[in-house]
Amino acid sequence: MEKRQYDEMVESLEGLMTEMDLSKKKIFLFGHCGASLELIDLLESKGLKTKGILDNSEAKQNEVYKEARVYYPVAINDVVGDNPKENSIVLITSRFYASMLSQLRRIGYEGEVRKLIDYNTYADYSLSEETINRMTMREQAGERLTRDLEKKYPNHFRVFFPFNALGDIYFAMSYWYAFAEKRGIEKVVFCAPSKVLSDVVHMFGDYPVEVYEQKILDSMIQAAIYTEDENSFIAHQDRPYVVNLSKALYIKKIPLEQIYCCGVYGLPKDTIATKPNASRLVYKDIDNIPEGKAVIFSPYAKSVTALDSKVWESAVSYYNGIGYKCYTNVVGDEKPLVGTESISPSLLELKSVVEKAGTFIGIRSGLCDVIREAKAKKIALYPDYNYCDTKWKAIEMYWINQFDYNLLVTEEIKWETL
Amino acid sequence: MDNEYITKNLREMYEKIRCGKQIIIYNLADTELLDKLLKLLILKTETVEIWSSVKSCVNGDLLHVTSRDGLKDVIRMYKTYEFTDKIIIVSDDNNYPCIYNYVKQKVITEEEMIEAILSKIG
Repeated sequence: MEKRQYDEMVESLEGLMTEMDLSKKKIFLFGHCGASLELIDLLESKGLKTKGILDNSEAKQNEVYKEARVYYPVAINDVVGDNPKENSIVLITSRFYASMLSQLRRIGYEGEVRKLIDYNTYADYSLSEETINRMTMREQAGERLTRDLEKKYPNHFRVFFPFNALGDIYFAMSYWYAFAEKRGIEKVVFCAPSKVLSDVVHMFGDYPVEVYEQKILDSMIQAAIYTEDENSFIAHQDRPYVVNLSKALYIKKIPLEQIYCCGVYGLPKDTIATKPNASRLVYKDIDNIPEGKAVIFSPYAKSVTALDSKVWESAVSYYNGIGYKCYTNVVGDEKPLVGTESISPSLLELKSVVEKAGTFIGIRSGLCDVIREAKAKKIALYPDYNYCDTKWKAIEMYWINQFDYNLLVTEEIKWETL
Repeated sequence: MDNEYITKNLREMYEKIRCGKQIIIYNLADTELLDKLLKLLILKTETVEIWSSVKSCVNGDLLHVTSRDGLKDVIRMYKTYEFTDKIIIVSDDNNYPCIYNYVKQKVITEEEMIEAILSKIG
């Protein structure tokens, strides 16, 4: 999950822990997804065990993560036993909090239900005058900001990236050229919620990018939806609420790249993706990296459940053992893996680093898309989890053809065989 | 919910949602697709209603035909913000992605699209 949301989840949980003693309660989460698994990890770090994960999906039943088993919601009263109000709590990280709460109450669950993340700035499930006024003003503010953008970039088509996700932006840019040709778009300005995403845009060309704070961007997107603005496009596969592409995944497996090609942009299946073609920067200390005898590890990803540290320990041990210099790609206060050195190239410099090193091993995240065309041995590691609330595994959705190996991490990896 | 912004149609829709209904707003002119949607819906559930300004040859209590202006009212409010998660709009707005793109590009069939829309309903 996004760092902002993760921080909010941490804060909400810590607030809850000052209100009540969670160690005395059976803790359930509602919705088996990446965010829930991250919450289980967070609870574990605070000495708390999760009893179960409630999920309506048949495919998910009886799956287990760190002793937390998936149950149908209707089973909760049986699992909790007597005094659900005293003995249990359901924590929700999903944006469907209202529906989940409603379902729990309908089945007679009387225990505490708490939302830990307030995802959805677009939603407010009320038709009160106050809510309508507030949301209308938000939409109008979005229209004013859009007019300002229009003045700055006259005759430019506007593309909104509503969500801070590297991989999604990479695919959105890969198929942008074909979409622009189809629509006869000549000039474009991209609007994104972070500067890092503008680097991904610039991998594909010298396009103008405007960066907005998330809530401001959300208001502009709301205005685009409300006014049915024909000179703008929201280029994301499941945000905001009006986009119903993700429902198709309940009946068919559609890999993320095809979601963008066919679902987001409506392009034919055989459309060829544009490769990043803008000249990229060379990392300033590139000469320090031994050519072809180094490994860049990327163990961290904000939107993915972490892998067991033993996976990385064994990899680092192996590559150090055969004389490779090992680096960990780190950002902010991330720590390098033991036995490796930190390295922090920008997104635009990363390809030069990976190609010089010769080997990249990373947890499957958007960063892997950024270097998918790098000429090096590339290994993507996938934790074993399902894509959102679908029955498809993450590895099925995010498989990278340009990588030498896409490995589902369920047992020890024999690095010497790769 | 007594305020000047709440039109008769919006009030009626919201009351149905409060009573447990989910609503599909069908905002296309294609009556054939509407017929297919209704036929599948009848088999699946009674808790969903389709609101449309076009009529269908499929009989059933699941279709609520209203005026174009009435439908616009509700859509306009929904496009101001998501006031409920019990609505799905089937339309051809082209400034955001839509599931019908998959049908046009033969990734899924029309029947699969309808099944997908209904998959979380009921």
